[in-house]
Amino acid sequence: METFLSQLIFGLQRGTIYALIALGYTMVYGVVRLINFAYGEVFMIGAFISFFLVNAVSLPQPILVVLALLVPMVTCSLLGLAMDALAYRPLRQKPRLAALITAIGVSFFLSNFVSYSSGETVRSSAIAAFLLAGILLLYVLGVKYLNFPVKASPNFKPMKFVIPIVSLVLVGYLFWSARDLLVELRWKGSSFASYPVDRLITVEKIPLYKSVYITNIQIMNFLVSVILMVVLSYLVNRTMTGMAMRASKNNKDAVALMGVNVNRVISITFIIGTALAGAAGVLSAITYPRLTAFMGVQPGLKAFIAAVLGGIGSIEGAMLGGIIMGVAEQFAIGLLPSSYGPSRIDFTPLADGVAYAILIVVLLLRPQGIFGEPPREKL
Amino acid sequence: MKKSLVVLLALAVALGLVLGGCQKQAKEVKIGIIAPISGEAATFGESTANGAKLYFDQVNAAGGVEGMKIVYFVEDDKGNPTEGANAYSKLIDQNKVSAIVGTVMSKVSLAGAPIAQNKGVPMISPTSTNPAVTLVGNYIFRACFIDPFQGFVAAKFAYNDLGKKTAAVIYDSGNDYTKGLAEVFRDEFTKMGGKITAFESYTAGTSDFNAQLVKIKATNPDVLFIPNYYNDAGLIAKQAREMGIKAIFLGGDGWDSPDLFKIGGKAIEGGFFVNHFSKDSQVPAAKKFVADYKAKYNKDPDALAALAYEAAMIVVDAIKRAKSADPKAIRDAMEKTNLETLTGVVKFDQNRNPVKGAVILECKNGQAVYKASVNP
Repeated sequence: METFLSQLIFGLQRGTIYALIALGYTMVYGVVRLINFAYGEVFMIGAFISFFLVNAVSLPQPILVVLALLVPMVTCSLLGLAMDALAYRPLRQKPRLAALITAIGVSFFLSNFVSYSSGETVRSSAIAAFLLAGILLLYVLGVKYLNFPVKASPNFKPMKFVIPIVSLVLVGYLFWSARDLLVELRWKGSSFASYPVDRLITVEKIPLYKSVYITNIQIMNFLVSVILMVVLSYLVNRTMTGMAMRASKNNKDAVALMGVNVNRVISITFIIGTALAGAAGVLSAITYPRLTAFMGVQPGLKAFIAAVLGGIGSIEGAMLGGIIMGVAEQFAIGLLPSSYGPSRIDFTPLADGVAYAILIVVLLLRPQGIFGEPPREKL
Repeated sequence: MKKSLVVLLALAVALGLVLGGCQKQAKEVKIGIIAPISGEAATFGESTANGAKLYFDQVNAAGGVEGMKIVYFVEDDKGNPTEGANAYSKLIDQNKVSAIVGTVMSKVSLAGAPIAQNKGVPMISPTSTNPAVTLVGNYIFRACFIDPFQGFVAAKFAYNDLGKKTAAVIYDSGNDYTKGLAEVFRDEFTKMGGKITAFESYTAGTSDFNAQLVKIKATNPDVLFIPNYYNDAGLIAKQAREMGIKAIFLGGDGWDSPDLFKIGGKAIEGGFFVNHFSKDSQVPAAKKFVADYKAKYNKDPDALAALAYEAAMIVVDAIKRAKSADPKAIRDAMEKTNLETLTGVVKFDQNRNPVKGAVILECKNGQAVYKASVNP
């Protein structure tokens, strides 16, 4: 009983994080019919950004925890915006497979970029992070004020490229020359392998039943996720933007004819989805205080399966799917026999396969997922 | 007339180049260093490279070996077998090294060893403890004891010195090092009369060990053996203490990193681990090494630095006795090593493993302090 309850709580802890990433998948798929495989990487970058923030700033715990959550969410949504504008928008009218493959490319690019720059020391990756932030900032400014290359033709003006590139090089040079100043002071001795949780929150255990307990971090995770999900539901179901999103889901051309800027709707979808992935990254870093460049790969894949399980395109489905996945995985590890037995065969690695087994079963029995709408025949 | 002069000149230049090349070659011996300078075991790589570089620099400062200056090349294997194999190929094919000191992790050494063996370049891994590494061939050596010995030492310490009768194990099922250590510990501990209550595995890359730990907690062991690298070990210790597991934590040489204390924090305090070397050693050569290392890098050496230093000593000693930079001659000399190093006299057995003892260190106030010595 105690074991069961403990496993259930830890399973929910896993599931919450899957659910948050799954929301990003499902929203973008619902509107653009694109599976953005880079969400796992946005998740990872969110964790890294909060790592730098928390190490760099000294503030009281409650303020810092809010900042550590909000700043990565904002930065990640900028990243999402840039991702959409640079990689996906040019392919909007092309076959869907092209965008899917691009998404895989973006995913590999981001994880390897971080892997490369976070390799040797915390310091070099701080430089890389600043460079990336600089690029994003410039890009966003470029989009806003220079109408920077969303679509190059027909009135292609070289100056539009030259100004951002020159300023990019300048900013890059600035960061490069100031790198010692930026990094040496703050981050001496910090390691990606230990996210400084103590600076955000002091872990406390609340006993539930005998030795079963729940920590304040777990409660915070649940609360933050629930709040974000509620806000999201409100946004999608009760606002004009949400209405435009839901309408775009059904028929983009008709929505465009009604005078709605579909590209803007899609950008907003990306912003929300990536902000959620960023938040999930931060929560994950607080719960499992270790950062690596590839920390987003497995959660990303599993969240994708969670989205399919819940019915891709459905917000409730993504939430439920994520929770189911987390709990199922936890119990799989808990119940599968380990190699200490007469057979000496280790079954635990199979637990990772449970996610994929669920995917296969769902696709066979109910291809549209739990909450998904069955495909309608168009006449 | 003019034409012949040009030809003559060209010939002279070419001859000069060849001779100069020969002369240069005769005056230096190239040695490769491979270590995971980045990646999951980055502090291992840094210490290893530093230890080997320290010795080579000292030899060069003292006039080189047999009149030859040592030129070393450092490659980063990132703790990844593929990257490791590339590093071996690069050092051998491009840099034309005569010997290689490297690499740290057993799984990476296992990827590189066949390359060194096929190309006939001797390699000595400072710290790969998996027995399979030197079994690849007669060009592969190591400077450390092997996992069966380490697992035996851990089991003996838990059963005899700590007097504990039940133990649980958690290990990474995809890593030869941690799996090997876990299995040896299980078998030895059971043989001594102890009981293994749980034997749990996880797959690499996970940061959530709660499912395995909940299972372990239900069996209430006296000792939890965590034969993993410091990175995972610190996190496992933290999650285990957080859920109220009271067992004493025990580990292998993979724990030897200052990062263990950064990650594990309070949870790792009171844990013990098997190691090759203690910086508190009273052997004169070791004391001098600790002082030199501290002077150069401004921090205490760990066992990886010490073993890399020893591996470098073994290579240079072999070059001295071979009186040549020829890889085959170095290998033949290396096999007959009988050298006083930091941790005692090193001789190789028929599988090119050195015969040497181990130390047990205790995690106390954020430091690994000497607890006991165990000899084979």
